[in-house]
Amino acid sequence: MSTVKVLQKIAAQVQAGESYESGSMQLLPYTGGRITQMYNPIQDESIAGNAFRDIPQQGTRKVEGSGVAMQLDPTSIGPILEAGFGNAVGGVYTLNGENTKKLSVATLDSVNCVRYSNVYVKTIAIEGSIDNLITCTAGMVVKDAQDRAAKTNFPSVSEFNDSLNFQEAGGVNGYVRIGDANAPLSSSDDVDIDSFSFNIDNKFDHQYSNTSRGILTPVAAQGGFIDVSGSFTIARHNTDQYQDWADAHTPLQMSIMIYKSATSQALIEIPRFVVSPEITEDDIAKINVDMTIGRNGVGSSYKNANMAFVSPIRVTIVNS
Amino acid sequence: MSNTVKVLQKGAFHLEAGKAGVGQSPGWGQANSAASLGTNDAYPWLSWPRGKNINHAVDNSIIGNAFKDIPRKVGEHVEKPISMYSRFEGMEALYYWMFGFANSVLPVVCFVVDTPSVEPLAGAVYDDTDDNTFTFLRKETWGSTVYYVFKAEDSASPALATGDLTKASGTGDATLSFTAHSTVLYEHLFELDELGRSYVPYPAAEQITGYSAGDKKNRMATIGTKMGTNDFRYKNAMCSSFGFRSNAGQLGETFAEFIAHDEERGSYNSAGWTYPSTRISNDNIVAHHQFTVQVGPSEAALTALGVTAFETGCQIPLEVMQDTLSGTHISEPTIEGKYDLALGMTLSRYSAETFQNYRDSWSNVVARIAGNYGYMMQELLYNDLIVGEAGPDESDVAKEPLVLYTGYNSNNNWSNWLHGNSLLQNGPMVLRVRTTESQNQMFAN
Repeated sequence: MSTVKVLQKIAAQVQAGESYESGSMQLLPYTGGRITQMYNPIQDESIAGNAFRDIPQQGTRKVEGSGVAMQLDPTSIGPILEAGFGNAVGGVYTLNGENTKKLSVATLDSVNCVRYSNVYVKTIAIEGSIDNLITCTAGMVVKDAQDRAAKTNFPSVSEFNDSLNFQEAGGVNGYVRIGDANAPLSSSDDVDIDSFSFNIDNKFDHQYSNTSRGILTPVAAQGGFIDVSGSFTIARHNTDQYQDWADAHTPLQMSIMIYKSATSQALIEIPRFVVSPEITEDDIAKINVDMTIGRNGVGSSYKNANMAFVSPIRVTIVNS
Repeated sequence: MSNTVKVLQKGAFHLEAGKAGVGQSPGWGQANSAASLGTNDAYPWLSWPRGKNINHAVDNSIIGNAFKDIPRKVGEHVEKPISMYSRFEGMEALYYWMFGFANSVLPVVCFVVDTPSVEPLAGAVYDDTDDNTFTFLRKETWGSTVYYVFKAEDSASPALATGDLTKASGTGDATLSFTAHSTVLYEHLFELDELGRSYVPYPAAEQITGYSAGDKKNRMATIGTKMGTNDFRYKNAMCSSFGFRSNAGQLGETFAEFIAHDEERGSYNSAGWTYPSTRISNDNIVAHHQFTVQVGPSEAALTALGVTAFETGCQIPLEVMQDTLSGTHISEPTIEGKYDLALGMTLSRYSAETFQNYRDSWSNVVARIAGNYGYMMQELLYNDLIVGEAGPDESDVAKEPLVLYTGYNSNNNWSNWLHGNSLLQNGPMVLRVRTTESQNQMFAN
């Protein structure tokens, strides 16, 4: 039977042990991307008197999801955020430089159920723009080989609910606030933006040894500092405030409340960043603002005391 | 002189002479090494950027002002791509230029026969009523059409349109009744030359039918183009890569790149460059729906696949090098590494995990990509492959892109299908075509 995209499913749960688990699988509002498996070929370069290569030998295994995209729904996003951020306490997700969280993932298509264990969330991108649902895209590094099983092995899952949309970052309860980090944000800091994007790279990577074709257990920051970057676009250029902040290298803070209801919301907070603004070429000029995001102090000494956490980004999810 | 209008241009190709005697090419870069372009040398083409590479060196000497002198010219050669539609006939010389070696030509006759009770096996010998002898090679299936392909030992086809073949030896029905047959056709087998592309005498093992003492393997050609201003001519053009591709609903394409000694501009008889009928008729262009693609663990266990696109390409690593003997030109390119041969295809629908299993188990497979039109045929045979990448893609109805790695294997995994041929190069890919051309192009010039 052919594999039809809209008939596929993907589910995930945070994995406590060392092997695949499926007792509390959460169906994800998946929109695209795949986890793929391949083996690196090892070429035989020996000189043998003719100009033909032998077929390569089978090398190391690479299992990765280059960008599994989903809509951000407060009900279902928990496992992805927990594995991607590393710390999860009561719906509050902060980055952990020693993130060891991992997922079990199951996918279903018309051919089989593919089970993945020890799935590390290498990257997360949270994005929003006018007339679109908020999206979350996860890049994944998988330690174990894919396990292709019969379709009946797709686990029982918890369903997802309505996803948040960009217009809910406004209105009565939603907002986007940006201001100097030296004072608490308030409604006077509300700004009009038409898009935002935050990207986290945990620097998990593939690392191999002689003992297996598979990778060693991924380690957070094995590729260097965890990167957090972001950008947003001010809907109209009607102030030089961002250029002034850039000139003065002023540390800023940002919070985005995306409020669907009392039981369905997401709050994104960036405690400390500087900006690089660029006025666009549009007929009505906008301001594209790149954010250089840093940590907010060390230990419990916060450089921006108005946001009392060290993590460069914090996401708080409220769901029912 | 006039403007150069693309559709009014013309391309021509002629292999440079390797036959012994007067006219044998003196070799790369030499005067009189170019071939004359003329009758039957014109080739329809699709894309072909013209020009040559000029290398220069900047004079950086300090002389008291801030302006550089114009640079010195220090090198020149030609490296260009060309593409054209794939064709069932009229391409034999080009295929020899691309692959580097043309094995012996087999005269064959294709028969449509009533279904036998005992299928003949390769090697079975039959005679017709005129005492022409035919050796059974293989049974080809094209949709609902089945051809029994025989080597025509007497280079003759039956005089009768319908009749019987009577078995003289081997396995198969005592009598095969045929209801149609082709004229005598010729199967050409092109192999990648395992020893490179240099202009050299034939080693003993390659002195096959058509060879004469003193002949040299010449994989250089003169390629011409009629422009609005002049005729351009690229002599000593050597193929540095080639391939074939096809997409559903389209016409198949053959593409190549070449390295040539120089671009010459002048009058090179473009008015006399003519197309043979086989190369100008678009009936002879291979359309995607005329292809059959088969992959399996062996030639006896092939599965026909629904393929929306395939592409196979062979890089021929030729060294581009200049020295004090070559002047501003380059020396004769020679192979400097191993062939890099790739095969990719996209299965129309992902509906089984067969190829993921091949990938994970690193299993060896063989593949055949073949096109047919009437009794004409062309097929690429891959002797040893590994499925390197497989699995569904992102399409709404998932397709399955496959990447296959090729390799050298001295065992002929197509020994039954290639019955009647002796492979001399054992390369990872061969091309066989069945056409009306009887001349082995390797020895034609």
